[in-house]
Parts: sequence; C-alpha cells; structure tokens
Amino acid sequence: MRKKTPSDMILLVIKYAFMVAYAIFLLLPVYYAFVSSLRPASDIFKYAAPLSLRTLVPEKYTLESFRSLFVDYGFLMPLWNTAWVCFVTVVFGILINAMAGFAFAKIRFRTKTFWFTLVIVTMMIPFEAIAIPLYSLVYNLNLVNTRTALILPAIANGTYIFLFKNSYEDTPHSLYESAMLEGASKFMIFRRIYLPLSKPIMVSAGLLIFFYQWQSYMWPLLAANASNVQVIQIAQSVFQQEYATLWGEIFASIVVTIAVPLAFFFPLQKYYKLGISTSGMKE
Amino acid sequence: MSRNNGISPGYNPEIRKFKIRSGIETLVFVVPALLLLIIFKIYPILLSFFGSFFTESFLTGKTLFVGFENYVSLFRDSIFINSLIVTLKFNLITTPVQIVIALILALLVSKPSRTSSTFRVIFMMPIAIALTSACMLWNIMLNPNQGIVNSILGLVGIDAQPFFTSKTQAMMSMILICNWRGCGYWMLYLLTGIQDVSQSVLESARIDGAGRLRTIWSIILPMIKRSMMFVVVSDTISNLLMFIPVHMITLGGPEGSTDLIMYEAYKTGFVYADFGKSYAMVSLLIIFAFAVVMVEMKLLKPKY
Amino acid sequence: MKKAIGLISILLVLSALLFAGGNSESSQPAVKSSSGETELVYLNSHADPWDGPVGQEIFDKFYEKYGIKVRSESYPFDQYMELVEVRMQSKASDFDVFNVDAPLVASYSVKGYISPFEDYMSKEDLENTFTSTGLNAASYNGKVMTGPKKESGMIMVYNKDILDRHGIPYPSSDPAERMTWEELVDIAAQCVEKENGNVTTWGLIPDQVNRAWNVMPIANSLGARWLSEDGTTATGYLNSEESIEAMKFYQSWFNDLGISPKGVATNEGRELFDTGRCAFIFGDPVCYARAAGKGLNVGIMPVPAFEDGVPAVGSDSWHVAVNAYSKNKEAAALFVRFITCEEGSDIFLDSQSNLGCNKSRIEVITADDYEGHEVYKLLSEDLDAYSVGRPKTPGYNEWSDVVDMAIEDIRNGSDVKTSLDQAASRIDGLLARYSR
Repeated sequence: MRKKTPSDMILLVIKYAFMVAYAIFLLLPVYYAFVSSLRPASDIFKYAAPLSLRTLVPEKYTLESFRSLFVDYGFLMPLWNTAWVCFVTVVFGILINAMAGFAFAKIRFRTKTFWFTLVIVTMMIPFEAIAIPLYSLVYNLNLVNTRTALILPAIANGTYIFLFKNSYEDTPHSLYESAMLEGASKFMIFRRIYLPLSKPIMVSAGLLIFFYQWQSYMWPLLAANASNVQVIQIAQSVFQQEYATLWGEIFASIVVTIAVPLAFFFPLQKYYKLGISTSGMKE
Repeated sequence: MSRNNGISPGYNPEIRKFKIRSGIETLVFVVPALLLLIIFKIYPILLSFFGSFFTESFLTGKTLFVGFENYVSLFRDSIFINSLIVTLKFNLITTPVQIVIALILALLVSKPSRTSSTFRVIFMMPIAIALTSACMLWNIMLNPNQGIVNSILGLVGIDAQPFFTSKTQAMMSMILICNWRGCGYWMLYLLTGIQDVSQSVLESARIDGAGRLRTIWSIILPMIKRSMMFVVVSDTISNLLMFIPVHMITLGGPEGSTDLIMYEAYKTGFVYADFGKSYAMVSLLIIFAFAVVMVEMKLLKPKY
Repeated sequence: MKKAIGLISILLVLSALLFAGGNSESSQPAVKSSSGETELVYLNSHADPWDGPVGQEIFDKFYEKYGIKVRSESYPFDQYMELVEVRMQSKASDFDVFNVDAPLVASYSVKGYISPFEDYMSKEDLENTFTSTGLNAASYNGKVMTGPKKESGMIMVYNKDILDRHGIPYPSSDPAERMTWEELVDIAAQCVEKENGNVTTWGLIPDQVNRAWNVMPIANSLGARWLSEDGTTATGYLNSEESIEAMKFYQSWFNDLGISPKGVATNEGRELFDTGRCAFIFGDPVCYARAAGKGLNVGIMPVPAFEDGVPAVGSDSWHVAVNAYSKNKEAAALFVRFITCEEGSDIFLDSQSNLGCNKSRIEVITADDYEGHEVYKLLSEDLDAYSVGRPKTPGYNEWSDVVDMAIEDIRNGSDVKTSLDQAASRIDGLLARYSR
C-alpha cells in the first residue's frame, strides 16, 4: 500500500461525505414509509411540519397497520400470487432470453440483423400503446383473470436479450470456435460453457425480471383483477379509495413490498463480485 | 457479423446434414423468444400503428381511413408541440445526469470491500421500490405546506419551496424522483462492467503513474463500452417513454411544464378516447426513439 | 431454405400456441357459473362498497328475489374510466352491468357502450320513480340511458371545535339564512392557525379540490356557465367575465388570503379536514358522514352564494348501465332496477348516507321524524331550487380534463384570464371531433 498524502485524505473525506449524503437521500423516503407504517393512523401526518423529533421518531408505536393489512385485507394471498408469477417469469425469462442472447452473440444466421433490430424495437414499445390490442388478444385467448395472462407477455423481453447478447459477446470467440470444432452441439456449448459463465448477468436479469413483475400495475389491473389472482400492486390500490385513503395500510404495504425483494438482494450480492472475465476466463 | 464459425462451404452430404441440424438448433435458440415478442409486442404495436391512420366519425358511427391526417394535426396542435419540447428538455437533462451519477456511484463502490458492499446495497435499494410507490412517497414529502422536505429546509434556514406546484420547479422535482429511482438501477449494469476490468490492469495503470481521472477516462471507460452502450440505449428509451410521475403527480401541469408526450398520448387515448391520434403520437415517439438509439449504438459500438 | 423453415415453424408454433391457449383455459366462466345459473358481472370502483359486506348483502337479496347471482369486479377509482374504455374497445362481453359517471352518459351513448335503460322500464314508470334531476342526468337525446344510482348535491361542513377556539358562532343550517362567500371567507381566515410560520390549521377547502364538479358552482353562483347549452363551445362561457371573477376569488383563497392549501390532492385535502386541520369543507354530502364517523365534532350549513349572485349547488352523480355487448341484458336490467329503485337501492344509499334519486325514498328520509333528516332536507331543498349539473357533451372527459388542469393552474397562481382563455380554446378544438 502506498502512503496516503494529505490530498488523498481530503479526497477520501469528500468521497465518504458524498456517499453518506447520497445514501441519506436514498433512504429518507424509505425511512419515512417505515416510520409512518408504525404510527397509529391518526398520527401519520400530525407531526410533518414543523420539523421536530416527533417528525422522525414516532411517539407511539403500533403494528395495527400491519395487522389490518394481513388480517383484514388478506395481503398474504396477493403476496403469494405475485411470488408465483415472479418465480415462473424469472425462470422462463432467464432461460429464453439467455438462449436468444446467445444466438444473437455467437451463432451465424442469415436474417440475424433484421431479427435483432426487431428485438431492439420491442424495447421501445410503451405498454400503454399496446394495452388495447393486448387486452383483446388475451380476452380472445380466454386468459383474462389467469396468472398465465400475467406471465406470458412478460417472459420475452428485448432488454434482457440485449443484456445477454452483450455479455456473451464479451467472451472470446475462440472459445466458441474450438468447442464447435470438437463437434459439440450448440445446445451443449450453451449449457456447459456459456450458461455457467453468465451467472452474474443471470442474477441481474433475474432480479430485474423479478422487479418488473413485482411492480407491474396497469397490466395486472386490466388482465387479472379477480380477487383469486390479484397481485400486490392491485391489492395495494384498494387502500386509495375515493372517500377514504387508508394511509396506515398504504405505508405498511409499501414496507412489505420493499422488504421482500430486499431479502432477495442481500444473499445475491456475492454474485456481483464475479465478472465474466474474472471468473476463470483469460483472453 | 462475418466471422467464420468453422464450417467451410461445400456440397458434401455430411456437411449438408450437419447444416440442417445446425439450422434447427439455431431455431430452437431464437424461436421461443422471438415468437413471444411477436405475439405480445410486435403484433399489438402493428395494430396500434395501423390504428393511427383511422379516426371515428361520430355522425355516421363509422371508422374512417384518414391517411396521415392524425399526424398532420399533431403538428398544428400547440399542446403537442409544447409536450414535444418538454419531452426533449426532460430527456436532455435526465439521461446524461442519470448516467453520470450512475457511473460515479459504480466507481465509488466497485472495489470489493465491506463498506463498498454496504453502500452498494443502499444505492441499489430504490430498484426494489415501484416507481408508483416512489412517486407517492416523494409527492407527500415534497408537499409545499406540510412536506417533510420543506420542514428540513426550514431547519437550515431555507424558505419553503413550491416544488410540484410551481412552473419552474415541477420539472426538476420530477427529474429528482426519476434519478432517485434510476441511478442505482443503471449503476447495477455499469458495476458488472467495471468489475470485469481486472484489477491487474488497474494496478499496472497506477504503476505507470496514471492519475485517477485518466485511469477512468482511458482505461475503465473503453473497457466498459459495451455495458455503457446498453445503459445509454436503455436509459434513453425508458426516459423517452416516461409517464408514471406525470400521471401520478403533476398531470402535465403547472401550465404544461411537465406534459411529457407519453402522458399526452395516454390521455388522448384513454381519457379522450381519440385512439387514432394517440397511436399517431406513440408511433412518432417510437420512430424518434429508434432513430436516437440507432445513432447511439453506432457511436458507442465497441471496436474489436 | 433456412428462411422457409423459420417461417413455417413460426407459423406452426404460433397456431399451436393459440390453440393450446384457447383450450387449456376454457374452464374460465365468462357468463355462466359452474352450476349453469346465470351470473352477472358488475364492474364498479372502490368508491362504492360492493366488495364489502354491504355489497354482499345486496347481492344476496337480489339472488333471493330473482335467482340471479352477481359477482363484483372493483377497480381503483382513478383508473376506472380508462379500464372501461379498454374493455369496451375490445367489445368485451365478460361484464354485464357497469358504473357510469353521469356526465359520461352522453359519451358512452354516442360510442354505443350502453343498452338504453328505457328499453327495460317504461317511461311512465321511470318518471314516477326517479327525481327529474336524476332522470335528466340519465338521458341523452331524450332517451333514458342509465339508472341513477346516487345523487350528490352540496353542503358546507364545519369543525365546531375550531370555531369554538376562535369564538366564532356556529353558522345556521337554514337555507334562508345562507351566508355569502365573502362572509364565509372572512370567517375562514379567522380560523387559520400557524406555528413557526407553518400553517397548522387551514380555513377552507373544497372536498374535491382540483375537480370541476366542486369548483364550477362557485362560478355558477355569479351566473357563469362553463359550456354552451348545446355542448359544443367553451369560448365565451368558460372564460366569461363572471367565470374570471369567480376564479380570481377562488385563486385568492390559496394565494393572497392563504386560507386554503396548495399542492394537496383530493384525498389529502379530505385528510386535512378529517384530522381536524381545516375549519370548513364543502362539496358532496358524504364529507359530513365521513367526518362525523371519525368522531369529529362537525356541523352543516348551506353552500354560500355571492353577495350579488344566486345560490348554486353541484348535482348529479354515479349511474349504472347495462353493457351493450352483454349476453344477459334482461337480467342485467333487473339488477340495475334493483340497485336504483328497489330494496338494493335503500341498503346501498343508507350505507353511503346518500340522498339518491328515488322519489319515494326521499320523501321518507327528509321527513322530520327520520334520524339525520337535517342533512337530507337541506340537500333536497337546495337541489330542487338551485341545482346545476355538469355539462352534457360527448366530450365531457376532454372538457373536465382541461378544466381540471386550468383550475389547478389557477390554484397555483397562474393568471386567471390566460388560463381560462387557453382552456376554452383547447376545449373547442377537442370538441370539434364530435361534429364530424
């Protein structure tokens, strides 16, 4: 280790000051939601202004909002539905998008540029623009109010194909060629060499597919509003009623919907330490 | 893509058989994804695109083909022109700012250490929060009268700010929310790229006496070009199609200052039920996004 | 070669997928329940109690009487209209009855979404059963299209505790002793409380703070109308001198006078009143029941009028209609009847503390011996004499969207005349579509 000069020290202080400040900026809303979810309903907005200790630390704590969320509003059911939808989408999403990404990165076929351009185009299609035709399609397929209606349209996604293609292109082409020369089938090469190599990307893509489904709102509202297939974002929307806003339940549900994915985040952390080139590959 | 995949051309039946097998294999790889994309994205958007050439006639109750009339009428509409300008302004600020912050964050937490990994989790945490929830929380916190942000500003002697109720601050407040949620998201992708740059390369750069900025500029940036291209392209698209904060908080106001095109298109379709015009807006937006993305991909294409 | 294989396989898989999808999920009942009985699907929003015990009670009673089952599908209030639009565009027959906001009767009729209620109930019956305000809102081109489920009307509600703190006597609930807006604003200003420069108690807030329904009657009190009678022109109405004057007055509440809060949406504004942080709220009578239900010490008074104006109270509310694409129209019409003028209606309206449009029920609940008759009586008298409805135009959504935005800009301090001028010409442009 090199000796630290005073200017290094100053830089270090600036670096940490910035990081801490930014972290506070990010954490403030989450902390606010958390604290509000623990207040009695009547206290939620009571101490917002002017700022005092009571604004940041509740005087009275209660788990009433959480009790109401799970007992009165049966939030476990949508939680389970969402988990199921997320799980299936993530599994198929990773597999199908990784395969397509691999093909676009490594396999030579004649119409590749055309198809890849098409994939890029699908990234730009806003959901609102296709809501009506998509609903008609799902309605005619008799899939309204099924989990399938939520899963099928979300599996293939241009963004993740792009992501996988990028990561496979980063690997040396010689690897693919030598495996081909040894007579391995493409499927074998993909499964034995490339899939294991792309673990970090699989984790990021998996997380993002998960969050996409975890947070989607408009499509589930249209396609699956029946109570037995409701997902969390829809169940949450019940708390914002026209004549009453159940703030306690809203904050409690926000806390739950943040806490569950965060629980996934921490264990998956370690995969980010492995990049493709540091996981045993040398050019 | 002109790399040789190891097969020389010829008419040997063995090779022919191999080619067919290989062709079927290729199909297995791409067909599931492409098929789903075609059914659930391309087919609906084509329908919408065709819809942009039609309009309803309320007197006769028929749907009329009007050619490019919906498109032409957009450019005569001052509201649309305004939302075009607002959208450009929003994108020209948000996208670069988001990417620069994401890059800084990624560089700050890229070294493997316990502090970095703690901060890494904190920086990525907003990904776990739905944009709708984020908008709701920030809207409450940025309330001009009883919001906690003004309370905090008051503590350090700054007057209460109007935020979303002011023409001059609404756009910035919206960008703040988008960045709050977006920077960590894009950091995630850059981080995987940066961590691919091996420590030995960085070490040798330091021994050669390269300064910090120089190392970033001439070693790290070129090596994460591919991740960078992905982030630039995806971020551009997501910001061009941004709509939730407008829908949830500002509804385009005050005085049209946050009226993004996507919201205008949404409103024209779902509220005014003028779907022809709405699809015309979306089609223009997609064509524009496609053009921008093509330019970005050309400029950022890794050369090796 | 490869291209051909690719194309063929795409087609094959596509058709396979369509088939598989069609078959595997066909157990989903769209119109018939598993036992073969008719089951109606009723599309509504969370603003109503259909998903709770009240809704269940009504559905059970309906089943007892007609042997028809009803299933409720509730949506968030803010997205309800968009969802109706999407499903109607797909000509969906998977719901039979749906909620319609009164001013949308015209729009939905023009677009052919509604099977006219008149076809299921004779004109004479309709006129004997419903109030004229209710029927008027339900009609388009002289035809009764929907069943009027609720009626709104307007009252002013005040927090007695806040008035007590400032030694202000309670205003009278007698329409004959109606206050003027000028007087009310004075009183509201006295109620504002501050701490370290931050307002802790506000004076006055509209119940639906950024919506035309709640704000327009202020201008109506000066004689303004916000759209021409034929429903095609806003210029000269929305930006008339009376409108501008009324809206300048409205703007002053939030700006010069500082008696009303900026930057709060409808639900947050209600929250302010319901937690005792605002002295007056005016709008839909449900704000009285809501605040009283939360234990607030509240009183009611008629909505003020301008000193040289006439009283004006907003009217019309939500209706129910039969989906034009429904496969059970007759049964659906029975249900519409049941919840607008039969037993279902009473249970529903009681749960909402709503006056309703049913003449015989109004007679009962405004009588002196009925508990809570004061609110109903005030409402009913004001509605009879001074009701103003939202404009009737197929372009109501456009009108209300543009007007709501203008009101919001005015609240935030934009120039009133410019805002209204621009909004009026914008609306004229948007409405032109309906005359071709």
